[in-house]
Amino acid sequence: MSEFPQAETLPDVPDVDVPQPGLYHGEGPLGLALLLGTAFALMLVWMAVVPFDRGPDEAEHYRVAHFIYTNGRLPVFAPDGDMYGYVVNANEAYISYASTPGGGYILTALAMRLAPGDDPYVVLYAARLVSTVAVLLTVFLAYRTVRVLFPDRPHLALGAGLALVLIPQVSLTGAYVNHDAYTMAVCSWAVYLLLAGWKEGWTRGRAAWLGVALGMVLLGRLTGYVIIPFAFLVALVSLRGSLGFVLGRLLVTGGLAALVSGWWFVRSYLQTGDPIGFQANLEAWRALAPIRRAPRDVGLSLLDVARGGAPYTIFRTFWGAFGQLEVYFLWPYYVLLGLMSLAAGLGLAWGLLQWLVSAKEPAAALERALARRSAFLPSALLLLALLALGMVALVYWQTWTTSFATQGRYLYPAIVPFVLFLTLGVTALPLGSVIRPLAQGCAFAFLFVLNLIGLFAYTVPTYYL
Amino acid sequence: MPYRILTLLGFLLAAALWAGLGWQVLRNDHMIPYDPPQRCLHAALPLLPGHSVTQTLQGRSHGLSGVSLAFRTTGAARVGVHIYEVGAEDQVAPLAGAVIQLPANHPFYTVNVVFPPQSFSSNRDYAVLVRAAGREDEPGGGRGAAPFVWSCWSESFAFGELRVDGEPAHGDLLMQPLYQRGAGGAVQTVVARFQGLRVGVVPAWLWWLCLAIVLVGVPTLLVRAVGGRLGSPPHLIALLTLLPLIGIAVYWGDPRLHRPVVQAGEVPPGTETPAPAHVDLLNELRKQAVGEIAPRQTWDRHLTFALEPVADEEGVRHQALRTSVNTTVTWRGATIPPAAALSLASAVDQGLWTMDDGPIHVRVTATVAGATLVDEQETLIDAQGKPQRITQTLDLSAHAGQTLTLTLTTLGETRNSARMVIWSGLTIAPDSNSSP
Repeated sequence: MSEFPQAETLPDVPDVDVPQPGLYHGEGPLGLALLLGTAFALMLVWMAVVPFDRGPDEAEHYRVAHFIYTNGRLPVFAPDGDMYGYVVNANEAYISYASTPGGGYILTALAMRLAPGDDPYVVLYAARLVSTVAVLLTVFLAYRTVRVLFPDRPHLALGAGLALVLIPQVSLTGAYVNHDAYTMAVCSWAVYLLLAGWKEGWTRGRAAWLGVALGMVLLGRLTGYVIIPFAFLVALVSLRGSLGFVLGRLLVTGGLAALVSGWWFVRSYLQTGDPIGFQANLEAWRALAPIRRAPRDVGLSLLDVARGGAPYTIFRTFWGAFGQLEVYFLWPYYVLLGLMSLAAGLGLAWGLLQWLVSAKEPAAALERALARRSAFLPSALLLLALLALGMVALVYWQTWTTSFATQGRYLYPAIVPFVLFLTLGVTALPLGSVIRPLAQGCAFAFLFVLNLIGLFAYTVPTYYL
Repeated sequence: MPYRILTLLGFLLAAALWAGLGWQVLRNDHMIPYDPPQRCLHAALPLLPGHSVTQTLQGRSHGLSGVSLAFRTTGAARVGVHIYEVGAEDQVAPLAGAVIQLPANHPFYTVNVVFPPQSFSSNRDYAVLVRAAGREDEPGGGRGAAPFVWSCWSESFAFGELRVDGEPAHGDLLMQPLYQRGAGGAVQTVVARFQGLRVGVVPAWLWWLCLAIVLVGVPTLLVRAVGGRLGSPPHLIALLTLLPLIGIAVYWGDPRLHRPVVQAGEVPPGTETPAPAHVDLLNELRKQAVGEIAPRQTWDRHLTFALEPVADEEGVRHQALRTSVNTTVTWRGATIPPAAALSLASAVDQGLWTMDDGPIHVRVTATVAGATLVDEQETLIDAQGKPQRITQTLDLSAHAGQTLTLTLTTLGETRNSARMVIWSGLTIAPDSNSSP
């Protein structure tokens, strides 16, 4: 029995919520089943159509997974090791992903081992299935996370899950062998566990699962590490009780995270002198693409990077860019997506304003909301917003300091907050009970059409016709 | 008006919209460029009278129906383009044989040469032969106004070969094969793809089932996510109206979805802006600086002779070469651009790196108009696995218009030449003292 008081025992203080559209009604498990079934089917269609190596660096990702599958061990990243990289020209090289934490690759190799037979085609599809399942898990976790935040708004959860899987870039990410889908899934899992633990109390089991999730996060892409400070923040806000209780939970979580992932850092340190492998990766870039320079290294400022169009590239590759990121939608689509995002932002601002106005003393209400665990929702939304902003800042920083990070899918470790705010913002627009569902419907229908033409009008003609 | 009639009208409107969308999609054929655009350093190959340039390519799909070529002209010129199937040159007439009039003084003039779609062009070999069509004594067709056909320095077509006067040449023509497919063809392709997908025990029909689930499941979810019910006629009508409306808007707004069949002859050259003067001159420099490599590395096409530009936006160009030990590379005959006129600086930056496991000797010689500027005698690079670099900076501002020759020789023993990396870079930076 936890020493920490459970949520049910707290005084009944209603969560302040943004205005709800009138048409919402109950949604049972059928909706979730439909969402997951449809998402899985959509992922399989994408997986079937996308040719091999027509997702960003699929061959390089597959090379690492295939090495593990074949040799039963992780590849050594070194010039004279198992994998390192090769040169395209002085400015371009393929650097092996063997230096990056290999949680996703290990799972992929396991799936390949489980494939019936050794037909290369079957083995490849087994490997791709890991990405597919990872996206599916992310959809499920987005749904569950929104349910934790808004238990009385199941359709919002359904919408968030649907929006997530309809983002064409997410669909593509679930269709080829990569490390992003794994990172996205485990980060979403950690976010869900953190919010669930915050709201429903930190049982020993939940703390243990969180440890496993964080360990798996540490074995994913480095961009996913942004979850770690988020976890500390959530712990700071939510972990209350006796010192023994707090230390016990932290020990369980931290210990399991270390158990799951610690071996990788030791191995990486012993092999490359760099526990996370990032410096080894950068050194390989310097060695094999010697004239390639990060914007910072050629004297550009962060503002110069923005002037050079990096935010637009990140935005476009967040929503949809196909093949090896050489096939983009026509620009008006991105403008429409930008307008949709802007509308969501305005909706959020409107909802916040409504909430502040509805409180008699806004400053005191905000202070209470942040300080009291009973005001879980606004505090959680605030921290999720910080997570999303932190993710954007990290990717932007990497764009500046490295030469390969101008890619929107690196934001996917925080995909759940992104789709949550997108759907929440659209539902909060002050449009009236008839127009609002129509606007929402337009947004979803647009994403659906975009997803289909991304596959059939952009990917298929580029690689088949 | 009774609710039932309104509902009926709503369904009729939705049906009309769907029919309209379907009709629009099916009535148009598409001309689709298959191969991704060639991103490489462009070079203009002169088409001198009596000489020819031939490019072979392999069909990547059925429906090959043309190629798009790009020319550069100083004076008015005429070029002949013949396209034929390799192996069938003597049996049948060429697929296309056209004499094209090129306007004068055009830096980048694109021309589509089209022919009837080839039903079974996939994996078949074709050849495009380009030559000047004018006589030497004819204005515009003579040597003084020889047109150029743009080529791409790197190998762009996996199964294609560029030949100049029948002799193999480096790179490929800057060429865009065009494939004509209707919407029906696109559907056929998807059908074929799905039917061919029998992965292990997973039957082919599973993919069709997935597609059906998506087409039914997403609209159902869409209605539910906004709080509606699919069984409710107003909601269903709203959905059935919304989707084709968006579809029609997207179809007409996106030229990729209704690209008309390209007609033979010239098309507006808006596909690519004319190359800036300094790029143009860099191309000349590159063309003159073709290296001689022996032995040529052929085990990976990425690792053969690479000579490509980088950092376009800054106006900086870099030419780089990857090679191996016991190799001599000569870049010769490169005319140093006149800095003031070209807005280009004049500096050569040579860098050498090695990741080899043994020491090698490198000798670099740079001469301008016969006079040696740099003669680096057998520099020892003791690699020890760490990249090393030797930099030579030459101020060439006083040598504009003269000829630059660079020679790089590497000598050494190596246990693993595959890991050997040597770069020799030639950087041309904008001259800060010259006017833009």
